[in-house]
Amino acid sequence: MVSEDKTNLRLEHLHLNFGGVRALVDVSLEVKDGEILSIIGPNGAGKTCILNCINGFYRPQSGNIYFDGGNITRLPSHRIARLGIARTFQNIELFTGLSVLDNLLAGRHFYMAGGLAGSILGGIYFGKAHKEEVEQRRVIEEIIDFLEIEPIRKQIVGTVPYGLRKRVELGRALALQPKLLLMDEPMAGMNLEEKEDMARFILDIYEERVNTIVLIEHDMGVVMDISHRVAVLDFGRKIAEGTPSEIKTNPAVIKAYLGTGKI
Amino acid sequence: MPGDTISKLFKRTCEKYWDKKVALRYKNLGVWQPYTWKDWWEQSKYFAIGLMSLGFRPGDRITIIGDNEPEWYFAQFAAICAGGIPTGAYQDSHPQEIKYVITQSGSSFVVVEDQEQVDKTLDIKDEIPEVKRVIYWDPKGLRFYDDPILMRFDEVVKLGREYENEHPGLLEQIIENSGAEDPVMLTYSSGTTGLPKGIVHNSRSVLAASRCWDLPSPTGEKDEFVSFFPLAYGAELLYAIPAFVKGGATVNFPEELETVATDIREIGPSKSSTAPRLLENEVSFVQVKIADASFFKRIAYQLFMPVGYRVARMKLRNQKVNLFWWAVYALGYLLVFRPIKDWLAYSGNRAMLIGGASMASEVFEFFVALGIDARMMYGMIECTPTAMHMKGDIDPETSGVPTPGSELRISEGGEILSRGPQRMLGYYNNPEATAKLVDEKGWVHTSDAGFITERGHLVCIDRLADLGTLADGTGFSPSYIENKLKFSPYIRDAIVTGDNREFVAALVSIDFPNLGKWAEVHRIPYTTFVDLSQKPDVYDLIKKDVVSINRRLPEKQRIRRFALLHKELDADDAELTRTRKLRRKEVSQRYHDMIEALYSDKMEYTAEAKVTYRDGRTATITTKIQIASVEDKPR
Repeated sequence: MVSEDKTNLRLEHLHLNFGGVRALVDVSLEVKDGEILSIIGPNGAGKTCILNCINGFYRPQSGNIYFDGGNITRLPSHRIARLGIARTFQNIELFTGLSVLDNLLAGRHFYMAGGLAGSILGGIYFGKAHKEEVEQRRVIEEIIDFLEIEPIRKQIVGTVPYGLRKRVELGRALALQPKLLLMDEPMAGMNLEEKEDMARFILDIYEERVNTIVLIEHDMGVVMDISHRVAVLDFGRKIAEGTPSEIKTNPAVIKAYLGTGKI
Repeated sequence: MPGDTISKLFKRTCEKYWDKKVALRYKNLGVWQPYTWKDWWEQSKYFAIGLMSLGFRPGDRITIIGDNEPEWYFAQFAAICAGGIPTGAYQDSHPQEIKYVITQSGSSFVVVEDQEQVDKTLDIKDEIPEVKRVIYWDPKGLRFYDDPILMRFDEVVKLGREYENEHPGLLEQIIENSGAEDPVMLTYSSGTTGLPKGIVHNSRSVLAASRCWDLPSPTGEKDEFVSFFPLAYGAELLYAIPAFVKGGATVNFPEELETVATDIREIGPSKSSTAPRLLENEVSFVQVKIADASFFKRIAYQLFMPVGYRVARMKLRNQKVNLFWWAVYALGYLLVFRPIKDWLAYSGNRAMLIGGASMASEVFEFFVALGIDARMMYGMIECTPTAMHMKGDIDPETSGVPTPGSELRISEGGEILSRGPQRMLGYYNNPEATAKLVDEKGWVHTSDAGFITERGHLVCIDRLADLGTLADGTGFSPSYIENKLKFSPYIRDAIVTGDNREFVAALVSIDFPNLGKWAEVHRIPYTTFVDLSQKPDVYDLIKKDVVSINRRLPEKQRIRRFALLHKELDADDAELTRTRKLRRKEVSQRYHDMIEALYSDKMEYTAEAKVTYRDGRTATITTKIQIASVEDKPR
């Protein structure tokens, strides 16, 4: 449930430029502990840029990002992931040549003891590695059960249909047991039924596994149904923020989406 | 009397094996999780007592909705042990269908699997005021549901443990007092005609039915069975479960419906109870896979399959198979039949019982050729099995001879009448329907048309009401022709018409996965089901199948015109029952205009189809459908 006073993630005055292109202009945003926040906006508004800044793929030219009280603006991606921020991508970034199970296990690598010495020892004594494998597999199997992908667990990801790949990628993000989940267009390219399934999974994840979710989505029906708050971006600027009902009637939002009528 | 009721048998077997033997196995988290007889006993016992502490009384009904999982069995046996009657609703039912089962049975408790079923049940909550609690066993997604009617399965079990401390021996007493005539199961007919009727069986009839089921090969401790047929259908409780409970066998539950095929292979069940439709699918599967296989495998299949059929026919006719054919068959078994059996999960199979509607003899012979002890079985859930193939007396065209204790006879109108100890108690709260089915002398009027052969075998032709007569007076059986059509790997369903018409015509629904594969191999691009079904090449392919079937039919019964349906027949659209039987009346009404078009000289028809989504919304699809004529002039 949303706690009003606790902030999970805070962006302060982010500026991001690519040469002359101003991708993000003075964007500030707060994500409270226990909420589902959606970021919407027309194509090229800078939505994905925000996610890329949060998990360290892009470095903003100025501004700060705080997570759980600490400044994460300059941290490398893997450190940020270790702090408990997981994400899924717009264009599915999985290892297409590996099985679904292996892809999910890859999401667990922070939790494996391993290391060089461990690997060499593992060649002599299997006991520990075996035990670890069983432990990790159990966690993964729970995620497989949760996302209902049992029938494809041993399939190579390259042979799995698109809608299911989206679910596998979500599974890998969950394998990290994150505190904050970033989802980039989880429903892009899906049909109505798949969208409904995905919406249900997001709500289930919110209830059972991750209590703070940031979502980028184009399907307004879904956004308005499942988010607590919505932030709207247009040309790199945040033009509105509020509850779904506030956003629906906000004149700036309507203008960004539908234009002004002048040519 | 000991062992004369299901609950006494259950208690006895549980005490005998206790924690020494696995009773149930459920694949969860990728691993087969075992439950011993002790686990089953405790879950059922405390769930039963928990229900009683919540107000359940002997004679009360509970409705169970969910996939085949151990909890289904736990709840079912809890109700039986507590002197109540369990019933089930299909897991893919609409809320209104669920409501019908709950209100018709007057259930006081509803036990459901997960969020999906909880949502459907809560949708109709105001219309089922008799229900005291809705109990669910998979809590995923239900954490924030605060409706006071909801309760978790394990909470009820916990309640039961506490209540047992205050009232020790409560359940044992009820089991001790149970009688063979007490009703133990309620199941709803699939409703091929009209609203489903509740069929009530008691321990006596259930045990009689399961004794017959056990005839080909008595169930023992080593037997493995896989439960995947919807439990709401009731056949499993009627035949199989009492046999397992008696023999101490193990029942396995697959992980998901989609994983049945792989899970069942891991188990390799020794006994299987199956239906013609599933076997038809398996034959299609093999045919398609073989067409896809490497050159040598194809050659081996084409070489040895005829040998298999030949030896199968010799065996079925009780002819001696000479040494030469034996040797060739043995080679074929090693190279072809055994691998196919393994793929279809029949490696460990000792007995296959086929119940349900009639089946093409080609399908039956296919399985005999693989070396499987296949038997047909005839009966309706109201009184079954009344006929069965006995060892050494098997004819693929028939359903076998009367089972021990049963009698069969054909009425003057050509209807099959049956009588036996496995007859149901009656329809639930529907004495008129019961009186219509069972006459004063105890004969069950099955509404099936049939005859008895010289060997004393029963042949079921079709539903009496479905038998058709052409305009010139020639009689024909639609389902007989439909079964022949469905033997083609590219045809999933068919509806044959011709009553009071000039000729026989058919609406055919294609097998999308198989035909899709065929289209890929033949480089025919397609997008959707509709698109594929209307390709001229597809029409040519199906026409070839129709022509070859026509050759085996009497001249007047040949299919002259057909059209390929633009959608699959679906239970959600009320075209099939939940057990995938054709609802002829609904289908002929729905496709009335298309059938008229078959009998006109039009070569094209524009269809508007209404589709019902599972949440109750509807949409309309408009499609142009080609009509093909089959010009096989009689030679």
